Amino acid sequence: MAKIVLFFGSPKRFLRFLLRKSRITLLFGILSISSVLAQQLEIKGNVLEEESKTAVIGATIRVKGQKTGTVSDTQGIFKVKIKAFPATLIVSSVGFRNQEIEFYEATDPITVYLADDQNRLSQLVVVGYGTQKRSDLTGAISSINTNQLKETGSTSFVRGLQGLASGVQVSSTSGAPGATSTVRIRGGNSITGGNDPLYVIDGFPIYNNDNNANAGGLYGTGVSTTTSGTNTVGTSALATINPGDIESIEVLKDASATAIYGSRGANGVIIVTTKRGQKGSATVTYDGSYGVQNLAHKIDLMNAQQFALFRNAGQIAGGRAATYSQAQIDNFATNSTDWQDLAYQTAPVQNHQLSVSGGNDKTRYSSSLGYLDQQGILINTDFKRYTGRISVDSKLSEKFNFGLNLNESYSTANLASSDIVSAILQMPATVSPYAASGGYTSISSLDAATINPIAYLKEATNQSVLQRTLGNAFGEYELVKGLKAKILIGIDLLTNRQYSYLPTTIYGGASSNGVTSTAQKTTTNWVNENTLTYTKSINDIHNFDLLAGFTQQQSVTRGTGIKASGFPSDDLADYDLSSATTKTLTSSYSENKLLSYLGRLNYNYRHKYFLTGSLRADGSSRLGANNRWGYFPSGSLGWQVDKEKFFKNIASKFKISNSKIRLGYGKTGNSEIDSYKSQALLTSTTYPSGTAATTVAGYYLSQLDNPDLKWETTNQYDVGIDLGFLNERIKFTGDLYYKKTYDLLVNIYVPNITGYKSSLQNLGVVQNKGIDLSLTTDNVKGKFTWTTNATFSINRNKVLSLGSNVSKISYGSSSSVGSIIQVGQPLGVFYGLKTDGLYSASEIADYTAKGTLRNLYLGASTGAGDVKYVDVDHNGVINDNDQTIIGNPNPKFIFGFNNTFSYKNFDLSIIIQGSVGNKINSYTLKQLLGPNGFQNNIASFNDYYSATNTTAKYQRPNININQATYSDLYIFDGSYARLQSLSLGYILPKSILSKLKVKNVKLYVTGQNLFTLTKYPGYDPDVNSYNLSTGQVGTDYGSYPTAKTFLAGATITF
Amino acid sequence: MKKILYMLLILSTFVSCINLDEEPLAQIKYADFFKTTTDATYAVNGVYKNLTVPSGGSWGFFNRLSTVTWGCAGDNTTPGVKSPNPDYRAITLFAASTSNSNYLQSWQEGYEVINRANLAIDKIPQINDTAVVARARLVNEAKFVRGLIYYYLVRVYGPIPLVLHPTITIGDNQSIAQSDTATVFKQIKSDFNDALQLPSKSSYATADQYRASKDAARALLLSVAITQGQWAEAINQYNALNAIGTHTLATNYKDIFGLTAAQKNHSEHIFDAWNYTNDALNYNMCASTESPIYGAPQIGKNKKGVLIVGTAAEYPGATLRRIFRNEDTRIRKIFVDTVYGDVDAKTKIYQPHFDKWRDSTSTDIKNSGINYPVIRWAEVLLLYAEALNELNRPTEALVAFNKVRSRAFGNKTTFNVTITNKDQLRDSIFDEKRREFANEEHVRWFDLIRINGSGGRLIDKVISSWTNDPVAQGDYWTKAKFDAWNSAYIPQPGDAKYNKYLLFPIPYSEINANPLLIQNPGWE
Repeated sequence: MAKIVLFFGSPKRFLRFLLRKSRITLLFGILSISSVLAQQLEIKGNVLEEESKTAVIGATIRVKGQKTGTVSDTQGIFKVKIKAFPATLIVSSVGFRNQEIEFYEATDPITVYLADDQNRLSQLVVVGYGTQKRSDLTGAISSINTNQLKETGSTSFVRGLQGLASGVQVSSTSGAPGATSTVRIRGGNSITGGNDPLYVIDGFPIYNNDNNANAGGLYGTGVSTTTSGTNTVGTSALATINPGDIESIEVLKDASATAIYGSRGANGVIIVTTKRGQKGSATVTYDGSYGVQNLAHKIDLMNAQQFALFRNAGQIAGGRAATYSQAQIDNFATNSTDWQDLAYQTAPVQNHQLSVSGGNDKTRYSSSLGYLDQQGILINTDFKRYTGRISVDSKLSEKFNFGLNLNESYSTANLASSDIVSAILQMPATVSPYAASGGYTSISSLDAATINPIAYLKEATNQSVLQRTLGNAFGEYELVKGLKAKILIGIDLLTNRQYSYLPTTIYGGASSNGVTSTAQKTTTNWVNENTLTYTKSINDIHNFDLLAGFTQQQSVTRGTGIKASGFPSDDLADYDLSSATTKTLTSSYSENKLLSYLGRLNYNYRHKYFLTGSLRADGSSRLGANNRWGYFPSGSLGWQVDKEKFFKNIASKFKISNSKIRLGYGKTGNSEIDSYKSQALLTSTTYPSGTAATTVAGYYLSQLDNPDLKWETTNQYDVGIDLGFLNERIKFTGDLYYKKTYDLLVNIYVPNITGYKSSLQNLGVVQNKGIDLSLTTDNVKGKFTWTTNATFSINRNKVLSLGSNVSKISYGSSSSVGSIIQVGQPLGVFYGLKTDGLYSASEIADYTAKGTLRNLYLGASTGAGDVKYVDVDHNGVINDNDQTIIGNPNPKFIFGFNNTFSYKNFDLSIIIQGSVGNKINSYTLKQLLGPNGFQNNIASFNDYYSATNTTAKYQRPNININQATYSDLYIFDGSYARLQSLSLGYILPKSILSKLKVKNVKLYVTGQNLFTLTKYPGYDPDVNSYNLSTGQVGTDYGSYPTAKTFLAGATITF
Repeated sequence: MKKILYMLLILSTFVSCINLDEEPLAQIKYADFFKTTTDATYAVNGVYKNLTVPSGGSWGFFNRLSTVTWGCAGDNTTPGVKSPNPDYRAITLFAASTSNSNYLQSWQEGYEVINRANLAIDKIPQINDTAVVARARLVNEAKFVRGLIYYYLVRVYGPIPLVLHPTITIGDNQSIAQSDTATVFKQIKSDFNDALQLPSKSSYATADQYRASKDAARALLLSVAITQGQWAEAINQYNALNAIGTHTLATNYKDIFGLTAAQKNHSEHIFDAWNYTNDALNYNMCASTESPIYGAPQIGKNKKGVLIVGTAAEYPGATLRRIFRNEDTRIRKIFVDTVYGDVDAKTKIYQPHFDKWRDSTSTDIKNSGINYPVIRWAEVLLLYAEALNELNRPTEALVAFNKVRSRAFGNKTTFNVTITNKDQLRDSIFDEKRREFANEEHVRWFDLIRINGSGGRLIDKVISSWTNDPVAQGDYWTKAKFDAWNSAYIPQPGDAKYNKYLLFPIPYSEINANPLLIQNPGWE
């Protein structure tokens, strides 16, 4: 608790006084030396928030030792009567540190600055089904500084979490507006069952399934004919939430904190609470920003002339005629297409939010309207979001509380197809975007042809519309003192509509006279929670907090889709499906249900010894009839060491203000698999009948009966320590954890004589162990303040078993595996051939003479300048058996380093975050390092092997090389440190504000993704193209690059 | 305390709202199936379906699996530059390991069809409704398909596990030991003999022409007899087949691969895997990596509509193209000889590509509607000719033989064969089959392993198909290249170490998963 003594005397003495005092506290009242007669024993003043200088409404002002007190009004002004001087005022408000001010005689009105109570011990932390004081926690929970979250300028709160909490790894799936991110709390546990944390939004547990935001109406495959496979397109279901509406975010990391969520707690829990109203008359706030986004950097590619020479060399090496004549090559000197310049733009982004909140003793409300318009840095891509929110809390009687939250969101996104970035990079500079005969050039016409990305970006429609209503209502009744019953009913309605159209003017639509796909998917998810809580304190010695509850949740997803082609005119496109000649219809239905019972006991003895125990029983419809129910217990202990007498001396010697040891264990589960996986099911199919173009219906058994399918279970152990020094100027939290996940839900190989290739079964064990550290320091206090918040996380992941028959699970085909899951290795290690430079001419001659060169990848034409693969098994043949582990996508550690400075009305925030020691498997660069001249290459490939350049870095151009071969040439160091955001704010001084007749104005400028220190030659080392696949982490598959953004904005409070 | 009671009462009303049982509304539960003869019909259609494109969208037994795996293993096909993985090359070069994906695919897809057939065979008789005749027919159809697949598997893998009951619950059919080939053949004949109860092909309505018939069962019994060297039995089966109804050759070779109902239902077809143009579930994908890309108008094409770039992953083996006389009309259906240069679309390159399965009406080259014949009358005639020749009846053999031969030359007898020497006529028959069924690779590979007898001779045949054709361009496997590449690896004629290639290995992953399996000799 900070303390302020009102001082009277000369300014010199005052400075000395300040110096003495400010070592501990930076907050002080405005000094006044004019004397006022104390005719009335009354103190006037106003309460302001220290950082923003805005009025604190409803702050409590108590006079020490008196029963009287008051609250500040909407201007933050208060007036309190006192009995006599000297008197001490205690000013407090939820979320702020208390202030004590001593008065020895009457003064002019004073100004009290309250400091944000972020991370303070007395702060309430939202935990599963309730709140707890931070000082009472026994689990590992990180609170996100929502101010910093705001300063990142992120349009998605998930993305903004990067670097703000230890143990939380956020990686970018795509830089497209509204795109999804991958969040891993303390590493991935699961292979098939999902690794995303559970999100609890205003008490509503949501497992974020981006498939529900992707109805399947987008085109996305086969756009670049040189790539295959899909990565995630579409917008994230979490992008529907406006970060400006978020009040607090807590990350529950260890099992003692998450076990109350039982079967959904294994991947951690992120609790998001939206803003609630405060008592006082209405506060109206406008927050608006405008910015520009640019491609952070281009990839340096071959120009037309360089490519033509490269292509010719490859043709000749393969025994073919040169592709380009000398005249053409000469012409390319002045005719070279820079596809990146054509595809990327400077894109504006604007964000506006208007919120109104207020309330009285009985009812408080908060509401907002938001609008985001973000253009993409790829032409014709964008994301627009409209949000509306209202929350009401009402005390209907002394004993009955009622609350309502309603979040409504509507967003539209124009998306680029998933492989458009690959096409932009792969399209040779020799190709012009427009054909001489008019219209677009269709494809590159070089063996494996690349489509014209500009034609796609300009002409193709690819739109996704997402609508979400997320609301809940609760009633809470106090049955007897301390015993409350609460019933909550929540609903989450998510509807996604997607439309795509490829017109006849571009490759994909030309041969089919226009192709459209349109699809809709609606997810209805409801929850009902019934809880009883009992709080009891016996003389503040024995403190109990009990919770018992029953919850049920159901989710139903229905989808329909239409694919159609053969339109009479591009004008009608997808607006007139009836005019199409070919139509295909699809539909889907899936439902899952969860029934749970839960209980928890929190007990502490004199706030010194803490005990938490919880148990949840979950029944899931998705599991086999024999194993539907799972039981998830947890227990944890805490010891506030500094409250022990014996520790007092040590504490004062080392200036320890807080020291607590935590110990926790818990069992959590995971059952994030598709519905109906335990049942024997038949799927429909067709077969041609003998009559022309008609088919007959057929059914086949597509899934085996598996009544034993059960939970994936994680046992987690956590040891943590919380330390505070110098009266909490230095705060440190460290946690050590060990997680072991068994009965993994894995699609495993079954003997093929069964007629099936694999089936979903419970097999295998994965472990994660690691360290989470966070350190917050108030480096400088006083007029100038400097606060640092650093996070540091290490996680080590290892597959311990995949069952008796399986040693590895591969992704991709046998010769171009890329990523595998293998026993004894971390999840998703990269797998392929090792290389050892290039064959020299003498080596080839030597091998030929001895007849010992047998390379099945390069085949008969192996020659000098080709890549030398390592014969790992020394059997004389280079083949699939020589594939080995060539990289680990998991970082050695990740870190965040965030600094906040403030001086007078200015504040500056710097967020730096990064990842060290991880490797990236870049399909993007693999294509750009292709030796066969099918598509463009990076400029550095100009250093290729030839008769005149035998010490080249890169292999010789050779049309005969099989492009699919995977090797360590395409594995890159993915370490990086990034200046994630730099934000400078300025609060207008009071003098101006009073003229403007507004309460507060804050102006700010923010730069995002300003600078990245990395060796990765692709667009962005922060990349994870396959966010849903644990086995393919750290893969760059033509991901939409993250923009560099500059924003300027204002927050105005009326 | 009363209030607590009330509260609990309210809470308890919410309990039992939810029932954890699942109702998969968009799919049919197995427990609800096999109730009516309609279900039985659906189940058998599901069996046929896998002959062309399996559920996972992979290659299909009578689809690309045949043209690639058996094509590359034999002498008709050689992998080209765009060949997407070295597994084809490894098969071509007799350098494949037991984990080669091609070895696995034929196993996987074979047993997938067998399981579907087993389900129909076991469960249809349990249905209780009045359509007894229809159900008996459906069971025999499923038996025909099961026999057909086992007939291919036993020739590819030798001793194999005989799985005769369906897998329904996880854990069923996990480990079954191999049966010797004699037992497997006994089962195959038993299935085909049961299928003789089926209606004749001509008695099926047009809409049912895709079904297995008595004719198909006879034709397969004839093929089995030939494989087992039972020449007299083969003649008997031929006569029995002739007694069922009239089968004739299509007048023009190209019409066998036609798209109209009349062409598809011509009596030359005895049993086919069916496809339709642009049908997302049933399509012939053989053309997708064999033909040069056609019909993409926006790329620019020459006058003949043949696109500039030949992007085949598999080329015809060079000896294959050269065993055709120029007058042979089959050339024009099987091959396209000349493609055009990569850039200017004018430079001709002589580089034969397969072209048999290209469907010019399809919007997607992967989506051809041409049926894949499993057995057709031309094959029956040539099998019959082989049996007659072995029984020293060359004159009769030549009659059957020349029916096929003369059709190839515009139904002219100019190039009819007159050889009566037994060994020479046998060679002629096999060469004619190689031409007639080029790119229908479920024929050639089994002839190769049957007639060549030893691994060394098989190797000779295959290596001779890699040739130094002076006009061929690209990455042909040529003998000279192969020699230069690795002289120590040149297979020697008659070398016993190549005998193992007469059988595919049991796939590595399968041996791992089923401890009862024994690896084929030489592959251990």
